[in-house]
Amino acid sequence: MTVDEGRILTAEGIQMRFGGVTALDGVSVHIPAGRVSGLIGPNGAGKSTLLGILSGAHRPDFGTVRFNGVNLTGAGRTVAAHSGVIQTFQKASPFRGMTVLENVLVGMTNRFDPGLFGVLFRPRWVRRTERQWRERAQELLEEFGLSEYAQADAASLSFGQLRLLELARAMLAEPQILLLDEPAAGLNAQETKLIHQAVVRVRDNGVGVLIVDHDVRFLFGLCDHIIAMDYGRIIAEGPPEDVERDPAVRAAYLTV
Amino acid sequence: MTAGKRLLAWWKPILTVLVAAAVLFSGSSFWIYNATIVAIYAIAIVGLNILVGLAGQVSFAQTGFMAVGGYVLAIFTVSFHWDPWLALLLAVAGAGIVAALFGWPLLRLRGHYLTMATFALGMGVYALATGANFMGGAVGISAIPPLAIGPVSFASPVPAFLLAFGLFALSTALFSVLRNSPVGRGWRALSVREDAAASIGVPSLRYKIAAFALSAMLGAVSGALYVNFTTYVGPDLYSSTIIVNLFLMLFIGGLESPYGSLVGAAVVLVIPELISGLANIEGLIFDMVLLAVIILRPENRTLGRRIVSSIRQPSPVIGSGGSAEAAGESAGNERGRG
Ligand SMILES: Nc1ncnc2c1ncn2[C@@H]1O[C@H](COP(=O)(O)OP(=O)(O)OP(=O)(O)O)[C@@H](O)[C@H]1O
Ligand SMILES: [Mg+2]
Repeated sequence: MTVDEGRILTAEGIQMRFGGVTALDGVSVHIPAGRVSGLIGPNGAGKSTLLGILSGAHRPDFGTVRFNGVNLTGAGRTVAAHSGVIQTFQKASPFRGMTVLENVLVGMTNRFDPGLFGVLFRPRWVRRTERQWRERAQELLEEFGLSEYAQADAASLSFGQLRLLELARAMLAEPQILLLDEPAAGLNAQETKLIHQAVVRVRDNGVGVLIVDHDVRFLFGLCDHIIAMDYGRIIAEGPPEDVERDPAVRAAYLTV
Repeated sequence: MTAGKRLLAWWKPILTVLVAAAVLFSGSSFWIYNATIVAIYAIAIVGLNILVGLAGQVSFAQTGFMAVGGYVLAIFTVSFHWDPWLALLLAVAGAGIVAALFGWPLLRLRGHYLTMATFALGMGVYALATGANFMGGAVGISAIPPLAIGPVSFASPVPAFLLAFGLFALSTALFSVLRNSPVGRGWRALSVREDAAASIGVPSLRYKIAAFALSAMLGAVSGALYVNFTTYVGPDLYSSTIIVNLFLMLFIGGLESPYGSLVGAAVVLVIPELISGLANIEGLIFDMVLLAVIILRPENRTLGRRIVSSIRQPSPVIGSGGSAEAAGESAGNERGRG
């Protein structure tokens, strides 16, 4: 495991309130490249809220988010995505009305801007680049067992396939930091294995991953590092073995 | 793909060419005139469809951009004696620039705020045209010099017909190329789940502005062609009744294909002409059939929902936690088409 000190997503002192609810209360996290971090915590602990802040979608009341020295605090999803921070959603979010292949191809927008001239007149370099992205998209569909549905409407996929599609889409956008909100929830063993393999593969390519899940077996078997939250605070952090033994974690989460 | 299948994939353009040729060779001045008007309107509908069908933004400003096209052509040829082609170029570029300038603040709005703001923009242009002396006031501007190449005037029936259909063909090509481009995929993605599209890098505001500007430019082409053909411009061409008609055309033609826009324009513009001499009962039947088509067409449920929700949906305040997600969720709950 190599941790690249230069590429690290950091959140410092994040505080976020919704009306009377304090969703996050002074949370600081470091998501380095090349490492899989797991985020656990009971329902309502603030996990999704934290992901929304890390991906630039929400501006916290206090605290800052930085990646590669760029301030991403409340910068918006597009800005965060361009700088390499990409989030998937807890609820599947297919682009219905588009084919499965087209859904994945949307991700190329993050790295490839042909401009109006390129779009209208499709010069050779645009066609060549688009072909490469298309091949990459096919590879990803292959990887996630979705090839045979490439031309089907995304809305026709099963629940599990939609989750895989969501990950494939995010991967085409070439993230440096991937924030996954319960990607394996409700998946069967086979599909969970595909997610596991995909995460390990991107990790080995130097991508930093933060993955939220309620399945502790799945998460502890996958992650290099675990962050445990409860009531908007971090209650434990460290290697899976240590967090598993932590009394605060056991009280809050592991023993139900 | 076999040759037969390939031919089948091209049935819409082929049928369009055949019908257009039949109209042209019939020599009927009634049909040539009406087909020209239909093709001219269809260009504006294809433009509207880029914005509504591809990018998912409901705008009631299209008549305003048709007015920009018509009035710029009229004023610059009549008052400043510009060459009509140059005035046409200015009209189209001007509409694109005006749309980008207004789109930059407007397209940050969602739901009924966006709809109301675009309606205000369209009606603002209408009010300006009615009130401003240099635009001819309520009387409008007449005797506009036509687009011409040498001795051929594009205000005379056959050349006007060919120009209108030529530009309609170009606009359908534009629609199809855009639809299957990275930008078109970005539009279609953000029209369904804006937050999810943004999270994989779609610059939604920039893309929405681009759709608004392109849509406005096609509106201006249509507006300028109409004024060129009839040699008259006046505010009555851009009233709120016309914007309702535009959406009727879009509803009937559907969002899937630019050729539908031609059908929509034909149904709304020509059938009332045909049955105007008949008793009221025919008109009533026509309205009923229209209503049935609009309601029963599966994809119109998408468009209808888009318009209804654009009017009804409370606007999520941008940047406040979670609300964008909530809006996305409600969009995500939509059932798939048909
Ligand atoms: N947009 C919002 N408006 C009001 N309260 C919110 C909003 N989003 C989250 N909350 C509240 O903030 C707290 C944290 O929610 P969050 O969704 O981050 O939890 P979570 O850890 O992801 O839970 P789960 O495991 O159920 O997904 C909860 O009490 C939730 O009700
Ligand atoms: Mg959550």
